[in-house]
Amino acid sequence: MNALWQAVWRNLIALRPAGPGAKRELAVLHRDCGSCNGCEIELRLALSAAYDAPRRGVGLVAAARHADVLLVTGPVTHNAQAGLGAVWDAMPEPKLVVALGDCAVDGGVFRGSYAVAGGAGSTLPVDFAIRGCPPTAKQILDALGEVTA
Amino acid sequence: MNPVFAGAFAMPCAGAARYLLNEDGWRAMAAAPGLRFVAMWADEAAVIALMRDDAGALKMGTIAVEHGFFPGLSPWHPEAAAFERMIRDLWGYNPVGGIDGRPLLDFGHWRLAHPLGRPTAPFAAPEPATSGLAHKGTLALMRGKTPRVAARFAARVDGGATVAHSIAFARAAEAAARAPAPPRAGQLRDMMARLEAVGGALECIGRVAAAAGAVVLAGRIAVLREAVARTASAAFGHRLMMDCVVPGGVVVDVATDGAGAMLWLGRSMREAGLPALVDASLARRLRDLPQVAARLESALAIVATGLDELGVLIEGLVEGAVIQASLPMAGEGIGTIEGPSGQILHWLRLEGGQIGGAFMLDPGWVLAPACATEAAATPAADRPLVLAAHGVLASGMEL
Repeated sequence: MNALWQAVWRNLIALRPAGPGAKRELAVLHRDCGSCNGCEIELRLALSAAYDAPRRGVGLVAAARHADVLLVTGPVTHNAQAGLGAVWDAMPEPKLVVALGDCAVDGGVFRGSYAVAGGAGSTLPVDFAIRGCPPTAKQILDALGEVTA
Repeated sequence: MNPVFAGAFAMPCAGAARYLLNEDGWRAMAAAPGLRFVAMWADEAAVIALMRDDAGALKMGTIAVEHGFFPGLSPWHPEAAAFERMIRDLWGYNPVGGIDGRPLLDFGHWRLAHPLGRPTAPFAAPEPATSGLAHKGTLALMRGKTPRVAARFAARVDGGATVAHSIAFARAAEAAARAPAPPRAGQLRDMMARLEAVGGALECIGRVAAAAGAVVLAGRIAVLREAVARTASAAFGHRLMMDCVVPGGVVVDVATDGAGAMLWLGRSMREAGLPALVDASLARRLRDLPQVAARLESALAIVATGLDELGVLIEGLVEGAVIQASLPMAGEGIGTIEGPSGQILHWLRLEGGQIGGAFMLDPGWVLAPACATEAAATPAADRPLVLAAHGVLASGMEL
């Protein structure tokens, strides 16, 4: 085992929650509403083996009807707005909206554009906001951990 | 000089000559056998076509838009059709003879039509958008801002190529001002670009591994990708190095322990023995997919050479300023770079120190049709691997 793997392994142990892992699971549906892919890069890392996401109780689902949380990235363009509403309507209660990244929080640098509605809050009732451009993988997991708590 | 442009008035644009053509000249350019179509966009009452001649040099032809019309290039160059649709949606200029009349970005959801031309209220009844989901109005937001401020938008076209787009944009502004960035800034940009390319190549391998169900490999790649992000953060203060590059130079110098972190990354990545891991997990699954295998090969090569080059750059880093204070006031320029997924080009026109017009050419314009063609020729079960290997991002071309 070389130095890199060792370092990463130590890191994984440090990140592990005490005990057998998260008590609750969170099924997350991710919806890209015009993101530049920066938030997606961090989200993919957060949900990868590098952060041991399964032990933290967070996993992605593909269908709205299986989701507890709608995770929105991007400034919510007008072209994406209708689709976002349809996905939200298809999710069963109880359900939450998490805005991931500055764009989804309030439109970010794209606020005020003719093509942008201006964040997830323009379309849906947002429960949690994760700021950052983009937020780091650790910030994303910590925030989702608060949702499960 | 290509005979098409002989005698045409050349507008001053640093990086590629921009020739003012009349309708005959424009059609002659379209039909000229020695010119390949690269891209087209519009500016105030003009349409600009970017061509590449046999020698590989970039040439721009410009035609005035009259009464909202210009002669389309798509009858000669089918790949121009998507650009013509974009121009019609954003500027409202109609390509006469254009082969595709469908919208590309505007599906009637915006509060105005033709946002970059002379905006009018939308008249079409909204229909569900099938594309254009990532259209954020970036070009309109850049207008009227100083290059330093507009750089934030260039940095948010494609998060996986934020450094490359920022460098191309900065080069365009510096070309317009005929004031290159200081040597040390150029070297730091090169370092950031190498780190970004290595990260992007790892993501490509990781996507293919995940699509092929090689979960252990996908996990290992994610760990390596994370290591690249942490190295970027240690060296330049941001995991994706967003907003680090601006016109005039870079805003962050490499951290004191940054060079050590980058060298450690190179050593560890070599020790990780990535090519053997990829071969062991994927060789059998990719036997019938030579294009996907070829893309993985080139991604592995980018990881290896990128880290080697990083070492050389650290060795040769010169002392000096990393940014110049003076900013361009007027001029026009083009800046290019080979980004993580292909060539990126930025064009901009400055007026009184602000962006008068801008366009960015993302590799997505070329990759999206190429990916669709390759996927269509692949058995359905293997298509996710083809899509994963390409990793085409809508945001880059939807602006």
